[in-house]
Amino acid sequence: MKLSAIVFYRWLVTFPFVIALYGGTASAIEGVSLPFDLQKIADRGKLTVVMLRDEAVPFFMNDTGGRLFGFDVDLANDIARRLGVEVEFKREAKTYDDIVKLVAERRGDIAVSNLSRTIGRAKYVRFTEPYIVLHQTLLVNRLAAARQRRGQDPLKILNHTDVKIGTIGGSSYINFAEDAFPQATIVPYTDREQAIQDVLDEKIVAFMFDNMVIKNWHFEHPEGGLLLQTTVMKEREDPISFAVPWDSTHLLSWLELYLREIKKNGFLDELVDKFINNDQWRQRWQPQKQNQN
Amino acid sequence: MATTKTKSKLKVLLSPWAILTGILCGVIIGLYFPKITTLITPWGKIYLSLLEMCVLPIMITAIISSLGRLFMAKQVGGFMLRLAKIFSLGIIMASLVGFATGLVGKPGAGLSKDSQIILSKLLIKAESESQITDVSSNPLIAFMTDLVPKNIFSAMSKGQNLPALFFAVLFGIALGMVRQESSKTALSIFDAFFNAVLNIMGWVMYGLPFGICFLFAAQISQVGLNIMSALLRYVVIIHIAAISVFLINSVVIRVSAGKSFLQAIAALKETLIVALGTCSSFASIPSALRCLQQGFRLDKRLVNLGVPLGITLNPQGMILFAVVSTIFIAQLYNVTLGAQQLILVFVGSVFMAMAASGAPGGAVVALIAIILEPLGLPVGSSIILLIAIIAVVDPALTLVTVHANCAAATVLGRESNQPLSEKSRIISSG
Repeated sequence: MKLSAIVFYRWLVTFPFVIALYGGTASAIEGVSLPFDLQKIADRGKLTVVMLRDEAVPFFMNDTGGRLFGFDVDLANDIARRLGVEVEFKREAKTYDDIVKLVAERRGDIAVSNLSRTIGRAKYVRFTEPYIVLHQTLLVNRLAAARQRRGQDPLKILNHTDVKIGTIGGSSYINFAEDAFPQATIVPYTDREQAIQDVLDEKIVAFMFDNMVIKNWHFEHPEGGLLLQTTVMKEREDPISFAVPWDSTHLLSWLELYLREIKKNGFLDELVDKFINNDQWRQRWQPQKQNQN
Repeated sequence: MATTKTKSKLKVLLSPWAILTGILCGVIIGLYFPKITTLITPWGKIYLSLLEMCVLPIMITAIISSLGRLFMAKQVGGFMLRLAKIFSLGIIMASLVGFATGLVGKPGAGLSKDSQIILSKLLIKAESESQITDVSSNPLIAFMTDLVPKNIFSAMSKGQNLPALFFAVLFGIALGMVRQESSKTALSIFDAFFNAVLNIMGWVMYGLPFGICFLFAAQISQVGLNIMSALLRYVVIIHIAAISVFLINSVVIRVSAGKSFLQAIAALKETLIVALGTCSSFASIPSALRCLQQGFRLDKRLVNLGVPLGITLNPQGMILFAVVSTIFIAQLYNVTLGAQQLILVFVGSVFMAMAASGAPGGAVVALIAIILEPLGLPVGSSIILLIAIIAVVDPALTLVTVHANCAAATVLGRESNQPLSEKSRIISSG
């Protein structure tokens, strides 16, 4: 008992923020100053969360009352609460790459925005371990694929110079697609619906994005599976992480600890259950028209 | 006295009424009593095994003894020519019916939104559960590989009908070429075997009302009503095609054997019921040979050789399936088939149908890749859709193949103007 009390005491001194985690609130320790990146947030009294302007279900979207909700929204709220500050969502980024840019320029404290961790982006910002791992997924026009007469495996069918694959411009999927299909032509789109419409019209053979976006499309177009085939590339992951500016090193390690914590205490599982495994959230959801320009 | 009494009592089981009762019970149990269905499904399987048990022995002995005798009588050439003529006419007739019903009936056009949603969900579910449907790169080579057995005993022990058929044909010819008394003795032994298995088949038929009840219950419970409603048009078109071919073949029987429509059905009732209940044309061979022997006056050599060969070379039901399904898929994906493509469908269907006779269960459907791939139609999704629906159309298609070859047998047997030799009369008296 005694020994463990000592261990506990040392641990308490070494990692003041663990208290905040377990306590659920940000109780300050007298006479100890915060590392500068956290101090900045504490001084402001709010955590600026960078998030994509357009919705990305089920990560962030509006409910019928116009309020923001979703997987990432719950996460960001919880992070701010644990840090003992308010949350502010900064939604200027038109593309996912813009999010990285905003964080790199320190115009936000953290990106919680369905953001893929890639080796290229990691040159500019720091990423945590992923809080969810999505999979790179293809929506292939069945007929266009069959016309190629190159067998059944979509990965082999699509990797040819005469094949066009669409994805969202300024997203990690430009790189993911180039990496998976080095021979094919990758066509960037701003509008996802337009991209998928072009697949249906056989202007491009396939659309590539994460499995959540494709799943959502199938949900909204239940008859679409007849014409378009979904291929989840199990071996090609899309790790979704928090990003912070390069010098927010303490916030980064705090976030790593936070992630470990919510993986253990069931909060992350709860979110996965609420937004990924179930579809009840759709009743609250008010779909948004994508902003053009 | 006692034995004849029990025998006459048992005869009740062979009456059409008993069989009809069995079918009716099976349908009712399959539709409304899923618990009973799971209980009796194993018994249905046992009955199916009993039927299948007889297939290889009957097929092999029938082919060897018939072919051997034909060879000895130097009638093989003429017979083969006639066989080729009859089978190719049958194949052309069936595919024409398939094209006509498919192109006029449009099984894949104008699918309702609800149907599209059902099919879409089926595809997404199947595709998320399994990897990409593996289709061998060259189905024709695969067919040839299946046809030639490395080890005939291993092939037979695995119940592979096609290599056994191939070997039996070779062996029959070889035995016929051995011009010695001993080969005649060998042929007589095969005759004896054949007739013995035919006797077993006769006993198995007493169980038909029960077996058919079990098999039907299992079959009907498997049919997904959801899918069935979504593909109703396809199902109806296939059945219209099947009935048309059945009627044409009934006319063939009428002309060649002089039996009226109802008389022919009565004579073949066991075989037709077995085909419907088992969905296996091979499993129907023993019963077909038995019915043809009992109900028609035909040259047994030709019948016993023609029916097993016809199941593989004249599979009219499978041709209907291939043609109508290809048209269905093309219409589903809004692809118009030109004259050139229709010829491709015809040739592909013949190959597919012949290859299908050797393939088990779901693998049959996968063979449609032979046709769809050259046409540039989606293979994976089509196979998933067709696998979901084949249980519904399989009974009718099997019935067509078996009935068509019974009809072909009546033509084959009749056209033999040669007087029956002593030896073949011995076969027929079994």
